[in-house]
Amino acid sequence: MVYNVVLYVALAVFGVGLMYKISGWFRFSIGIAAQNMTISARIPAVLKGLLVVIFSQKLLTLIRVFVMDVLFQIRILEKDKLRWVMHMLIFAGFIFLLFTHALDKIIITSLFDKYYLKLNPYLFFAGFMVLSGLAIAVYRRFILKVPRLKTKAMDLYVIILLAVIILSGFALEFTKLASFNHYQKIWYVHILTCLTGLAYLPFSKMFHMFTTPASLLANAVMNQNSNPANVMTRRVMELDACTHCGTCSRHCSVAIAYDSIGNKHILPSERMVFLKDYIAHKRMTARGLAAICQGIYLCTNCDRCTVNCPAGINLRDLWFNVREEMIGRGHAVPLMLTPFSFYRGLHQQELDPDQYDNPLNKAQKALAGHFERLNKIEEVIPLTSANREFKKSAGLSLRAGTYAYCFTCENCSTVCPVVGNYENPQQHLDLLPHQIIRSLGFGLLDLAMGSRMLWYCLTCYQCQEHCPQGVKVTDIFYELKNLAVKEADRSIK
Amino acid sequence: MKFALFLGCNIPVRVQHYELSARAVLDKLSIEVVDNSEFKCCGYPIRNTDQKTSVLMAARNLALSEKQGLDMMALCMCCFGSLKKAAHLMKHNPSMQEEVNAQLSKEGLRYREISG
Repeated sequence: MVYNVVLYVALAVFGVGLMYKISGWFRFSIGIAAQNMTISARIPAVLKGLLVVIFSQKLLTLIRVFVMDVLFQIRILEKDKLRWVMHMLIFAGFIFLLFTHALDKIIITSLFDKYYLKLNPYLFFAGFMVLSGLAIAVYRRFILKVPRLKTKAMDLYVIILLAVIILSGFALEFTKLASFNHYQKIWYVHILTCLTGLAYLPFSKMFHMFTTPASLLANAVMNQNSNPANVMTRRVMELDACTHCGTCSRHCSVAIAYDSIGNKHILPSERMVFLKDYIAHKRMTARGLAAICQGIYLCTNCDRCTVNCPAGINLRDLWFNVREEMIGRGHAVPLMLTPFSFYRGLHQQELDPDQYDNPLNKAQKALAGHFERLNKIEEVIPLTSANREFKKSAGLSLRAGTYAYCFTCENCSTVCPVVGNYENPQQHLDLLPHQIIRSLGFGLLDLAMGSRMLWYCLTCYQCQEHCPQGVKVTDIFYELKNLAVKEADRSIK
Repeated sequence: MKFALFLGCNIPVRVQHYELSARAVLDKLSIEVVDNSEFKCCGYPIRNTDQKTSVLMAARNLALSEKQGLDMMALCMCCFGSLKKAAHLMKHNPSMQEEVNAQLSKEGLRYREISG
């Protein structure tokens, strides 16, 4: 009686949870072009897409991906053998136990009428498989300490839950003959943890047993010409397909920047955790927005996360869209003025002109905005006596101190390819290279730091090579940019 | 001659023809190159906003090729400049060298060479 009640409650929670999670794929949107995509448009689009794929040659692709990537998990095997052994042990052992043990009354007895329920010699074997898999999981996380693999409560819960299920199962089999009293107690532990697992499944990372295959299959048959409504649905579904395995962060080109900057949003796997939470309510603090903007912009778009993701998630598409959504929320992102914008520039055509320009202007303004002298060009700057403490107070390095040797021959500005690009360079660049160096000579740091020239600089080092006085022009520009960003960060906060 | 080939982030995904032709030319010149999938960003793009992080990123690659016992060859001018600059700074700035190596040791790496 109690068993039946608990079973049906667990099944109900599982069912409702499943519906709730799946409805989220249609209710939520992420990234740009989210408008005009109502639930009523997205559900039929998915159904239509499914029908078209099933009645086409793409069905063969689906079958191939299902066998290779879903059943045999080749994508994991290629990247990490130990991890594949771990996952296969848990996966195969669990599936075996599910069909021959948990659901034995439903499946096995209907197939083999002489099946003897009380004896399953493979039960222990399968249990050992899952246990050894779990042992490898613990080993990888806590002893081997796989780089960039971070353990969250969610990851621990699943390991503990599975371990309790299997261990209580073993205890159950052993006490079967020995003691009825103990048997009953352990039976409750075993059944309750199993049913807890069932009820918790849609809300835990175990949900990936449905979503990861879905992501692998969807990405195998979708491309950039797919219906935008379906792309949106897939993008949201993929957030559920992520198991926080850390493979993307392991391969991320800029992951090491996390060690130096300490912003966890630099790691793609941590951004996924953030997005799962963010997508439902889309609220965040100013500080949170600044962190996510920095994290997501600090990306060279090298595609390694996308190529390596074992769940086949199209992270390339996700980052591009989330990046636009985040920088469009109005927080100035100084990184936008660096070569990190290369990829965005290549994809300018995919964005509205305003959508493209506004965040860039905002970043420019945030960097130049508080350098007041730059905004009052007509104002006469009084000649001050040389400030001997300037170099130290400005925070410039010894090398940067070479600005003092400048005698304004203008060689740097003459050879600069950026200056040469404009009819009237000052209108676009504020100050020319020699003027920036001179400003430092006058102790006018704000003037030097605020000019657009710094950010338009291609860092070709022509100026520095050509300086007869050995002024390290390009290196000084780098230092000024670093200072300007620090200043801007301070004022934004 | 044998080098560790540093491709950077963009060449393998967006400029493959450059990589292919470079490999063909190197082959004709009998220059052997070794790929290293552990090479990552050279640190160039972040140098504008954070030089320290940039040097750390570059030094990580330098340490990797040093571990292989090979000199590095970069196809991209910006990668080259960034790596060379980092090697130079590491050579002339002992405190930076120490700081960077402390970070690198988390991955079991260390950059020793002082030839930059």
